[in-house]
Amino acid sequence: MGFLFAVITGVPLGLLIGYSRLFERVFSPVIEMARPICPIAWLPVAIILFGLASFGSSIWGNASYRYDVFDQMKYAMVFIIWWGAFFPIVINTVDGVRGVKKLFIDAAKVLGLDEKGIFFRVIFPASLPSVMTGLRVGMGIAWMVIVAAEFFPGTTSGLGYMITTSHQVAEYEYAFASILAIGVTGLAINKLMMLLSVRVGKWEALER
Amino acid sequence: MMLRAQKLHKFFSSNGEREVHALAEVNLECPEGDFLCLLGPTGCGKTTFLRIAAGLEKPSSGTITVKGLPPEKAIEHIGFVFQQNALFPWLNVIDNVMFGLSARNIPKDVARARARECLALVRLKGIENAYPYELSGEVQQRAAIARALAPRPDLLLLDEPFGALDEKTRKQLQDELLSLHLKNEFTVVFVTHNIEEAVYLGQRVAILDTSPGRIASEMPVELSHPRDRMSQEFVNHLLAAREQFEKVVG
Repeated sequence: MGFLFAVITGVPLGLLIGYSRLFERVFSPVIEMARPICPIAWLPVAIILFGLASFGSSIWGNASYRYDVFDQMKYAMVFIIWWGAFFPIVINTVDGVRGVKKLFIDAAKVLGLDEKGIFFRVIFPASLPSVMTGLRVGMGIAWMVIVAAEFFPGTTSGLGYMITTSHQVAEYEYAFASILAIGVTGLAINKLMMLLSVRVGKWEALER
Repeated sequence: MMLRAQKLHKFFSSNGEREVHALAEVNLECPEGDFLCLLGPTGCGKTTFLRIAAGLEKPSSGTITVKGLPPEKAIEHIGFVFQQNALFPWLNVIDNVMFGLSARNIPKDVARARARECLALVRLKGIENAYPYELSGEVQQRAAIARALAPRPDLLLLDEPFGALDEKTRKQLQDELLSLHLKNEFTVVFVTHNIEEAVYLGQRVAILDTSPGRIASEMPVELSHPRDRMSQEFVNHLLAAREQFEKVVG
């Protein structure tokens, strides 16, 4: 969920920063300063801000059968995942836009495209492979952040929770099992993202 | 008048300091139906001239008009073929050819039909769904010509379009371009550094001087098409052009 928000906010912002000098001047310093802040550092603040409210509790209330599932989507969690995934997505998108060959922009101009057309029909598709790289990196970070956030008190489920609990009850085989599961899931997520990016970026790999 | 340039100057500044005088006092007229070859050594500003004519660059001073309009306003009348492969790699061939049509709000089915027509004009069939990277340089350039022709321009600007092709293919494409020009009566401005190519194709050959680029001489080629490269008249024209060219190169 947080990742989705990161995509929705990160890709358009990245496109605009790469495209317009004004956006670059305004947002670049903010992003450069905010980027090194570890998402976990926000956890206490996020909990103060959002409490333990979740999509489950605020949309359906705790009576619904959907509550059990959606209560795991704490706003605080969503926020820090967004924080983790947002920056790699923005930065790769900006890079992608800057890397668009001038030749393609010229070609679109002589075919009669206006500025808007060039933005949506040339700059966006031409930077997609780079955007996909950003999504992959962002997804990896999001996954790390989820697990790390689950170490903190207040969670009642998740692999991170399982690790801290196994430490408390001194049954470390569960910790190792969780670590293994984290790795395997991360691998699966990455594979999935790779498949997706190969689909959109096929032309880029073959053009080299 | 299709294309008219008057007292055209272009300066390029690198690092904001040193200025390069790319074009100096270029006066050029190109009536409708003309086939003008711009011939000049590398770095003489012929590409710059073409880019200005297409509205991709602004002249530093002087005026240029296409059908009486500034190039940015006449873009719908202009087709441009680049030196390198400028097909969009994320689109297949037919979508590339249709690209300029959708920018002009032509309905999709009409655009598709016309794109097929244009591909047939350049003798391409059955590769509509192929992607540019799957094609040879020759086929890519044919598709690029189809893309430039699809919006039915009145003025076709070509920037050394056959420079990267082998001799045989180049001659073949020259003949095809000529027959398209003769059949459809669009005006052509063709940039090249190859003297023979210029004399073979052009109704007129304008030779550009280097640094600063200026029109050194203009030479009509009053030979009917198809031209025989071996005929005495052709050789005479070729020698005359070469003499002019060598004066320029020094």
